[in-house]
Order: sequence, then C-alpha cells, then structure tokens
Amino acid sequence: MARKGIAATLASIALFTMLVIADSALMVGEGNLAATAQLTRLESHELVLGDSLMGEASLRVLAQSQAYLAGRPGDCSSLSQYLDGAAANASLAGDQGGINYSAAARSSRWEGGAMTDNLTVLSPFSGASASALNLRVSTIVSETGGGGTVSRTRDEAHLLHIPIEPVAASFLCDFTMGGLGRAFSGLSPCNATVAATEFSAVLPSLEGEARSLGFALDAGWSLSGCRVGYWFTLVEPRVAGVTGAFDWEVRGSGEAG
Amino acid sequence: MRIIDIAVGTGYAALCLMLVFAMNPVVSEETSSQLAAQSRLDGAIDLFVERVGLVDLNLSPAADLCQTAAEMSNSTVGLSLAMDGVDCRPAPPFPIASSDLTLALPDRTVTVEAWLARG
Repeated sequence: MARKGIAATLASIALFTMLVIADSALMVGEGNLAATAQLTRLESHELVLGDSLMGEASLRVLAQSQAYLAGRPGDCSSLSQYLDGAAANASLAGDQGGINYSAAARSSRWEGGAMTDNLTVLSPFSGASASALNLRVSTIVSETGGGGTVSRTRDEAHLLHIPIEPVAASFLCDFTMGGLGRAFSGLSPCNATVAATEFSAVLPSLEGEARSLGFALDAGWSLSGCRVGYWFTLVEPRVAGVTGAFDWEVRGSGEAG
Repeated sequence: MRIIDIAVGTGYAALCLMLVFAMNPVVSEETSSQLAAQSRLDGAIDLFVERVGLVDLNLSPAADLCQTAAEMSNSTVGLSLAMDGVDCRPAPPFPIASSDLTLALPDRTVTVEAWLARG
C-alpha cells in the first residue's frame, strides 16, 4: 500500500514537472514570437515616422524660405544673390511611440531644369520646376527604438520648389529698367512736364508686359536738378506657398539725365 | 510518513500550478497579435498622410481633414485626428489595437490615430 502511494506521488511529480516544462517551452516560443512582433512593430513605426519626418523637416525648410521671400523684397540689381539667400535650415527632435528621433534639413538653390521627385507627401511643391525657385533639400533622419535594438538612418536629397517666377521677374527687371531709362534719357532742358509726359507714355506698355507675366507694376519718378530718378516695384500676387498665399516683390531703381 | 508524503506531493503540485499560471503564454500571444495589428495600423496612417499630403494637413480646415479621415475609415479600421483643439472621430474606449503619429507642421500640430475596433 505504501509502495503504491509513493509510486502515485512520484507519478504526480513527474506529470506536474512535464506540465511545467511544456508550459515553459510554450512560453519561450510565444515570447520569441512577441519579441519578433515587437521588432516588426518598431520597424513599421520607424518607417512611417521616418517618412513623415523627412517631409516635416523639408516642409519647415520651405516655410522658412517662403517667409524670407514674403518678408524681404528682391532687388533687380542682385536678384541671383537674393534668391541664394532663400536657403534655409530646419531641425526636429523628440520621442514618439518609444522611438527617439532627430531630423535635420538644409536647402540650397538648385539651378538645374525641371525634374520630378519622389517626396510626393509635399505635393505640389515636390520636384523642380522650369521657372520657379528650385531648392535642393538634404535631410538626415535618425531613429532609435527598443533601447537601441532598432535603428534607422536616412540621408536623402530632394528637389522642391516655391512657385515664384524669378525668370519672369529678371526679364521684367531688365525690360522695365530699359523702358524707363530710355524714356527719361536725353530730356532737355531738365523739364518736369516733359518727363511726366514721357513717363505717362511708356508706363502702359510696361504695365502690360508685367501683367502678361503675372506681375503688377508700380513705378514713379522724381526730378533732382537735371537728373531724373525712377523706381519701380514688381509684385507677383497670391503666390501659393506651403504656409498659404503670399505676395512676392522685386524692386528696381535708376536714374537718367 | 504517509502525511509527509501527501504534504510534499500537494505542495509540489501547488508550486507547479502556480508556475503554470505565472507563465501564461496567452498573454504573449495577445501581445503578439496586438503588435501585428499595430503594424497594420501604421500602414493605414502612412496611407492617410500620403493621400492628404503634409501641405494640406498644415493648411486645410479641420472639418475637411476629418471628412477625409472618415472616408478612409471602415467598419474595423478607424482614423481619428486631433488638431487645433478639435478631436474628430475619437477612438472607441477599448480598441483591439491603436497606433498614432504626431506631425509637427509649421502652422499646427496634427495627431493621426488609427485604431482597430472590436467586432
């Protein structure tokens, strides 16, 4: 009887031990599956976050360039340098969904021709346009998740544009400057009435040319001694920018006599 | 002797049962399926952001964006947005899984949340 009891106890112990071993094996298997799922989850979230960070940093660069263009008129005599000044930098850093991230973008003016770009999340500003202000934006995105187990770094360059019309503006600068210069040159004998007549005669054609290229022209003149000083502003109104519509202005001035 | 034998057997059985309950593989399995669902939801968020675009997310009225989120939602996967103090189509209290992405845009911060509703 005692032997049977001991045998039954030993059998129970063996049975329970097997149960625990089987359960722990299952637990380890499920644990591995969970760890793999966790890695996959982190990777998928890093992918989505990385895409958005690439776009966010580039959008901030465009927004800064737009603020520069909207807040500072260009000068006909140094339009190229002025456009170079639209280059900008932007950075982002933080933590999202257990992923530590940083993104840094910097832009420079790009003077190649029209070209498409795959940063479609910034449509319609992605790609380079034949006539707009084109920017090459270099962006580095770094992400680290799961305590360093899942890291990703992306270093990409994209072409973006702000739809102002610098080519047209440059042409209008020369055209307007030439038209006003010719109108006021050779005036004699320093007669304000004659100057006013010449100005009134040339202005409609200059305004018409500006209008045909999407600009509004405002111009004026003053007589100082026997020299005529003239000035003009070309405004491209309601340019559709990344943070809303803005007016882009270019100024020019000269004198004759 | 017999009492000791029963006590040892019972104690060992109790210990084993405690271990079995403590090492519950179902918890890991639920975690795995939830993480897999979250990966799927990440895809839904990515699709929404790509379709709307960051420029519109930055500029468009909240109502328009909420409308698009509603159009891209279905009976199981829902999309909600939080911006400008507006929280449209908030997730149900206990979704099976959820995932969110916060976008720090020049003019506003937008949080896109995707959730998997219980059938």
